[in-house]
Amino acid sequence: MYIPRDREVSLHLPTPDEVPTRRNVNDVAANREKSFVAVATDDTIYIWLAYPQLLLCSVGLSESEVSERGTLRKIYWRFDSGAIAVSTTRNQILVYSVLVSEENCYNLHDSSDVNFQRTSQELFLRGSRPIVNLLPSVVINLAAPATCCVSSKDEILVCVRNGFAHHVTWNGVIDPEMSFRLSSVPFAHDQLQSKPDYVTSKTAFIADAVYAPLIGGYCIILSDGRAALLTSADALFRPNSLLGVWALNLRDAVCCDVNHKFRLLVFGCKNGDVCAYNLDDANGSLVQTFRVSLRVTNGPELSNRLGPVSAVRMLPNGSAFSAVWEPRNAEEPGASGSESGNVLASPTASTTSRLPPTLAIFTPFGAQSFCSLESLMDSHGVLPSEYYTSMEWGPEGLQLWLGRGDGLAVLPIVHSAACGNPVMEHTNRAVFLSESQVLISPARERETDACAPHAVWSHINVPHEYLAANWPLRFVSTDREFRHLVVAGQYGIAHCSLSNNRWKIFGNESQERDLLVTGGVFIYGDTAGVACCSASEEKPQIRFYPLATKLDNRHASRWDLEARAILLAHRGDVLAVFDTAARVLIYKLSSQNDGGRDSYVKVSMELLAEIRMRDLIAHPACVVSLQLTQLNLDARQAKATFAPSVDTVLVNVSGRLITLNANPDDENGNFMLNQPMVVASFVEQMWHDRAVSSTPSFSASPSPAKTSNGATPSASNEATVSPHLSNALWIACGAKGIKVWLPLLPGRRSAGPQEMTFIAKRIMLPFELDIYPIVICASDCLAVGVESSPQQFLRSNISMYVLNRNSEVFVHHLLRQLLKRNLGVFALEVAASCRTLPHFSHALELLLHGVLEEEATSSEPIPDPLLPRCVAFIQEFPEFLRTVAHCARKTELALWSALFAVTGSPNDLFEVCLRDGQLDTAASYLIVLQNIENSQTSMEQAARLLREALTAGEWSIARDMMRFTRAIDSGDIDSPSRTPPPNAKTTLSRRPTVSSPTPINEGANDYVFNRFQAGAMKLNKVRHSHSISEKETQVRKDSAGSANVSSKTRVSRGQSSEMPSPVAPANPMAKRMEEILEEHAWHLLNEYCIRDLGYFWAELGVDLTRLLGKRRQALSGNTTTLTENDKNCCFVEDFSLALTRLHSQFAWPYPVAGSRFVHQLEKKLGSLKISHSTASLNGLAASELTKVAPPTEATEHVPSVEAKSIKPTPSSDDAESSSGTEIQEVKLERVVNGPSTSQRQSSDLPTISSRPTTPGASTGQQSLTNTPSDSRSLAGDWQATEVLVGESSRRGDAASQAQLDYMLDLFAESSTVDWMFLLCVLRRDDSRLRKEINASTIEACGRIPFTRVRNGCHELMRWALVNCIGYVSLLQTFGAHLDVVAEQSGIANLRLPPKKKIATDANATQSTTPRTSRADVSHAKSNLQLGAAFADKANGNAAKSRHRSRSVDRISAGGGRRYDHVVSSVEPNEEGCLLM
Amino acid sequence: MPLEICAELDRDVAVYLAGETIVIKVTVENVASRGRAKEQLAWGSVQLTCERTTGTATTSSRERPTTAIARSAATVFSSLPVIIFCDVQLSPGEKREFNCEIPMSRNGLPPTFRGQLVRYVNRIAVAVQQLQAPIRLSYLPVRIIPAVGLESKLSVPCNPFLAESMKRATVAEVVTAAVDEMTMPRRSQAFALTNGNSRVALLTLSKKAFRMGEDVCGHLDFADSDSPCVQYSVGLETEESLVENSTVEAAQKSCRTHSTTVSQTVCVCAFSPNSTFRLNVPLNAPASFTTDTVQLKWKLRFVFVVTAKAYEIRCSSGNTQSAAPVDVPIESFSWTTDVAVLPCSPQNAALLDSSFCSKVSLLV
Repeated sequence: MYIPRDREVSLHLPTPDEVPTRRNVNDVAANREKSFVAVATDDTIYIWLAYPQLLLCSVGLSESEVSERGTLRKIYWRFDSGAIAVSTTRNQILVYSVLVSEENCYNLHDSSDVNFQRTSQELFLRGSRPIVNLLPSVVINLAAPATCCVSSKDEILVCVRNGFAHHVTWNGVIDPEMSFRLSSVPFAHDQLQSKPDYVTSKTAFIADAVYAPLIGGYCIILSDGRAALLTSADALFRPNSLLGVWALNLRDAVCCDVNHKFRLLVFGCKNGDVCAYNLDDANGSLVQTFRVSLRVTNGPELSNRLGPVSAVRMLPNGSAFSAVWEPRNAEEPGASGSESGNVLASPTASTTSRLPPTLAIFTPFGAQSFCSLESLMDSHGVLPSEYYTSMEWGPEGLQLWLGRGDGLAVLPIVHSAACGNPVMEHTNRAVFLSESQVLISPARERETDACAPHAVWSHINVPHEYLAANWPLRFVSTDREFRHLVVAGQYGIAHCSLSNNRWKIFGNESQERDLLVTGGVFIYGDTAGVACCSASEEKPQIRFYPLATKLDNRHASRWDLEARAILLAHRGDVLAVFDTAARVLIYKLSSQNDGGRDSYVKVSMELLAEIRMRDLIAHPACVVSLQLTQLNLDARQAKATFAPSVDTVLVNVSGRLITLNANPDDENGNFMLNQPMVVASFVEQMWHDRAVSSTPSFSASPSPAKTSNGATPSASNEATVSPHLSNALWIACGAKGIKVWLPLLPGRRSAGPQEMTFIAKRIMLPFELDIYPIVICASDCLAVGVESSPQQFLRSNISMYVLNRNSEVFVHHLLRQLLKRNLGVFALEVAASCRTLPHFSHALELLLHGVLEEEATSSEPIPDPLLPRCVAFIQEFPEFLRTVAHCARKTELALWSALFAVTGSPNDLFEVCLRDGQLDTAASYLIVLQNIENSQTSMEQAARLLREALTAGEWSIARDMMRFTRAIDSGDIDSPSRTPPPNAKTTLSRRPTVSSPTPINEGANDYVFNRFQAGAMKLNKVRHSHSISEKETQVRKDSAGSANVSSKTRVSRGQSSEMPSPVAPANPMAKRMEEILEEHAWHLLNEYCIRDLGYFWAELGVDLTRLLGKRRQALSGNTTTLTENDKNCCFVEDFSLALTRLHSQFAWPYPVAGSRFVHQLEKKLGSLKISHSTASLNGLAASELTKVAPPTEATEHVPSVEAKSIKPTPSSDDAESSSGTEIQEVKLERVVNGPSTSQRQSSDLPTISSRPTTPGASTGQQSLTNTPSDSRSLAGDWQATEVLVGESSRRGDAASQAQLDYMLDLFAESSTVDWMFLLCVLRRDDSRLRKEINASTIEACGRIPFTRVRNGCHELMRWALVNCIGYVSLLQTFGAHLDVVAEQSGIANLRLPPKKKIATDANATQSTTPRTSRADVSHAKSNLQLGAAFADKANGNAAKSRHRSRSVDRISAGGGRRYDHVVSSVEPNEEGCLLM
Repeated sequence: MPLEICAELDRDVAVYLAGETIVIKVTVENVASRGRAKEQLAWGSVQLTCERTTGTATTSSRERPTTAIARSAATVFSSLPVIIFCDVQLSPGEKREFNCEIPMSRNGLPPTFRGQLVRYVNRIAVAVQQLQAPIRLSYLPVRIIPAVGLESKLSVPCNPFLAESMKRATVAEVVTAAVDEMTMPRRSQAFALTNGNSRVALLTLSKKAFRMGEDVCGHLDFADSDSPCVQYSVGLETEESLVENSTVEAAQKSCRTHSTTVSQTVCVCAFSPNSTFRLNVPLNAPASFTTDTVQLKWKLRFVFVVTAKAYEIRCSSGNTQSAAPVDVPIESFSWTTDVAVLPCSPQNAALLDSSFCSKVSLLV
């Protein structure tokens, strides 16, 4: 593959008048070696050195000469570069002899001043720069202008415009006997039977001609566009022996060239196409190989503006050809074919519809590898865009010389190392060769993590010392592991260790000059192998230079050959050499190192086989490549082999791939060949894993393991790669796509061999790729290509071509072809080995999509459709549902029916997705459903999915669904009924029953709506007209009346909260969705899932503030404006459960009263008067174990109190607290200090701690009663509480904390007092509580909720006493605050009705004392009220006990379960709860 | 020798950005055949150290932050040693895995650098000791690339719930983003190169800061030049210079700087009105950095070979017949400009660098 790199360099053509004018270049022609390039402008001939690009000489015609002889047109080099012939527009051909001197010109002499001298070696020119002079020798006069010439060794064939062709010697002598006239040449369709006819037109002449010796004559183009091969039975081509063979069906050829290696005639056509013909071996006719037109992916319309092809040029080695185009001339669309040959550069032709200069490069069989139109960014800013008039390949195809309408330019080209070098044909990395660098792509497995790896190349600079004298590079090879690189230029070799980039070149320059590499280089073990020829002795050899030692002939192992080697193939330790005598010699290599101090690796060769191929090939030059492989994969069948693990030689002869294998039946040791078999035609390149490494599992012989050259790296993945793929032969066929020769290996599970006898061992499957592959990765079914795209580097319009790799998945092609051939079993095996590939599911989609597109759009009936098989195949994989969904989404609506007729209805698939929890996939189906089903079904399903997604916490799905439904225009929801999918049997049958349930949106409304989109007011109106539901309209009025009141309807909210599109709330589906979201929000709240609520809020952007506002309303009893849905919310019923849930959700540790606390407390208490509790604290540790039990027991025995008015929750905390009766009572006494009940609990701490020491209930009580003052001081003094539960104890991580803060802000904003309280408790944030809950809060949230919170606080207190002592004092403080607030708001006693129940076990008498004492401290007023409250409670005590027993039952039935986890969440937390 | 200790890094190629965390998996396996006695290891540890070697003598200018195993005088940095296990007993065939992490500081850790005057070798030392046996060490060299742009704070979404679901940018991502920003071409820079009074060329560079692996591209315009340029060379070179006050004694006055040409291109441009060049910054070359000892700079060095007249057309009697000059007197001029080379992501650096393997094993 040949593609440009860097930038076109324009070259200045000097003129005598010194004015840098733009000169029209008429022709560019290089000599045979491509070392000199001759350029013709109208009046001057320039001879350039190809590298470096230096002008060697020029000859100009004077004006008088120009008028006499005409302007110069084309240049033809003599075979030996000794002369050039230049045709003119008049009837003359000028012949100049080219004198090449031995001496060099451009000898640069440094100035005498040291400061201005060159220091860098690179600046010294070392290549040969001969002095060249042109001497006019002969002028050939003709009767008419010459149209073209064909130069051969001794003469030129000159075709003249009058229809004659003359053989002219270079001395200018015309041999009249040899001249012939076109009209006298018979033309036939083939070389056997067809009856010849003659060209009748008198004006016809030969417009272009080229010599094609390997095809058998001259390829000519007639002025009428027909093309033919001019053959002759006579070697001299005498006029009477000529026979023209028409190129079939070619009528518009304008230029031609010939590919000797692939034996192709390539023509450029008037319509811009390029086509090629090959000789049919059967009858000698010319049949079309391919005809392609220029493909411009980024601008297909550009190719319509192309004019005729102005030139095609074949690379001498046949691996590429290039073509340039004229722009189409709009004024004269059909520039006559006869003119196109010689009207090369009429300046008027390109005045209109300018195209940038158009150049394309193709592979031999017509795959386009580069096109200059691909990016229209003009890379030639310096020159106005002019088209190319002619071009010529530079040495080794590393340059492309371009003649332009405005001058001369050289484009640097890079090419794949595999071109003409079979050793590199199968590599797993792309290796490219440029003028001075070798580019190697990085290992593919490392590319996954890197960013933009496609542009990363390893640039290996070939050292200047070697390159300067031996430019151009001709061969590059690496080993399989890319450890070493060896290059060969004109003479000698150089090699490099890729790990440290150190080069070795010949130390002895004469040795280098003497080494002429003829057949390539390769790396064998630790040596560089060279197929070479000694320049002085003309002795063909294979040499091995050790890589470790100096590069010197002394260390080389040399083996003589009989003839020059042209090609090499290398596999393991087997080397195949193809030589000029058309033989394939197969050698076994072995290396040894005698281990001495100065020893080096020696390699010996042993000839194993010799295959004579002369009969098979037209000429040794026609052999494109050579590979050794083992095709016989069955180890049981012993077959003859050429060498261990080599039983087949694959030879590509002019594009026909031939297998040569040994005949197993031969007995006397001499090899016989089986009949050569042509496997494929039009082969440009092949990739074959087995051509480079042997698979241990299949090779009958032990793998060659002598040196480290073997198959070690690939062997490791062989296990995972399907043997089908790793043994496949991949073939690139140019414009004809890719083929794979896939072995059909009987799987292990398949039955006996007899079954398999009916199945071929191999199968050839064709497929197409969009890219031209450089590397085929059989293991992951990926083709890697390289493209050259211009990239702008500077702000100016200067751009350079850079190489980027691209890749394409192709496994789906294989699967499809296998399925098509009823080889599903193999398809499964292939697919199974690809399961792990990241792109596998994508490949399945591609497979389904491709089959669907083809079969659903087919106009013909398909008797045996592939789609069902394909679907059945995909069904084998878990990706089935996703594949179908994605495929459907990527195909047109019209094809869906075809798809779902096979896969089952999308609704069913959707159901399966839901069932399997594949919500993502289900969401994909929803879009399908929305289009294919009626609106009700799709809405229902959408609602279901949303619910599932919300429950599963798949926020992104839910979010996408919301966005999607909001974006749907309400009118679209019913659209499917308007446009039923064509011939959708399944859907039709389902649909008729349903007419859209409520024709919510009238079409008219839609229109109105759509029209009035601007302006908020209008939107409002429009929306109103939309919202049909009575409730909504009603609501709207309401909101309109009181806009700023918190009660906003959904409609008005729609504008306020999310403005994005006015459509949003209008469509019923979106409405439904909103409802579901709301439901879910209530659900989360009611289940105390605050963290989930947070995610829900954040991810879905639900307007929680508004929802919470509604909740507030609902809770405060103001339910008039609320929907049913809104009423689902409820107050926190079970504070302790809520708190434990918060703990577990936020992974928030329970407060700890650890040893530190004890110490602190001791100090604190010590400083106070009382020592009793201190003592009890000290005894605490011992008591811990006994302490654990009570809660559970308590639940059973103790009558619980109905703590809440709303619902008789199984308040086990109540039960617990009351369980150890003593304890509870104790608390109550303690509570004293607080004016509110909640504060009672703060005193529990000492209580509980003391309990173990005094197990008796009464003692406990006493101890508590004894310490009222210190408990009070504890609770009152926040410092102490800090010690208890503040920073000293553990907290959740920062993220949880931030989330809590965030939620707290939300609840504060929406005055959700219950959760505010709970979160403050959880965060142990006293100051926050004080800030957020105050009199104004009550105003905002209403009194009832606040009172409930106070109750909740009590509840928690009781719970904490039993379960989490750490909370006690905190709750005490909080409770106190609540009391104060209640008092301030004058609702301190409001809580009485609910309170009654709570008071149950409170021992009124006990409680009073502490309370009062506390009251003294702070809240005298409330104290009184409290006292009253407690009295009340005490009164109700007896009544309550009955209740409680009932509630206990309930606990054991339902609630008990809930508390299990509470307890468990507490217990493991050693230090956490049960003190401590 | 029945115990095999194998340390393996979390990536294929041991290339890290300073500031990243090295994750090491250490496997200890008793490779003895069945039936033999248990083997015991007293302890094992892992540590990252950086050693500096200078021309001749090796001294350390800084005080040593921690103690290290087998600390040499050349050690300029060592991480806290991580004890990965203590008193491990393995029966034959048994295998145990230990994971540890070495967070690297963002600065203070010299990048891996193989210069002429100074070398920094970063390596991970895996040390184990058996009872009553000497400490066994094995080293895993790592390549550390200096990081840039880590100072900038990342904006975290204000909603903590979203913050959790959002992926935090890794060190590599932060650095890559910062480098992208810094290497973005902003304004191409033009330089009029003159020789005395006459103009030689107009050079345009798209930018002067490049990422490792990127191509340095420039455009030379000879259109209006007075002295024709026959050829020019551009070299991308690194220059290491010892910092003035560094205490490295090896630094004689004469060799305080040293330049190395990383890549070079030569172009014969005698007939070109303009020319472009492209030089690749290799992925295995060091990025620009400065330590307390050495400063590494990148430079572009140009040499222009200028002549009075490269080719002359001679005109005689209407016909012009000219040939190339045999001898061309020339003068050379050079010019140097600084460029910056910034780090790329370690994954990218690993693409073409195979000299740092990620695994080391040790038999005791």
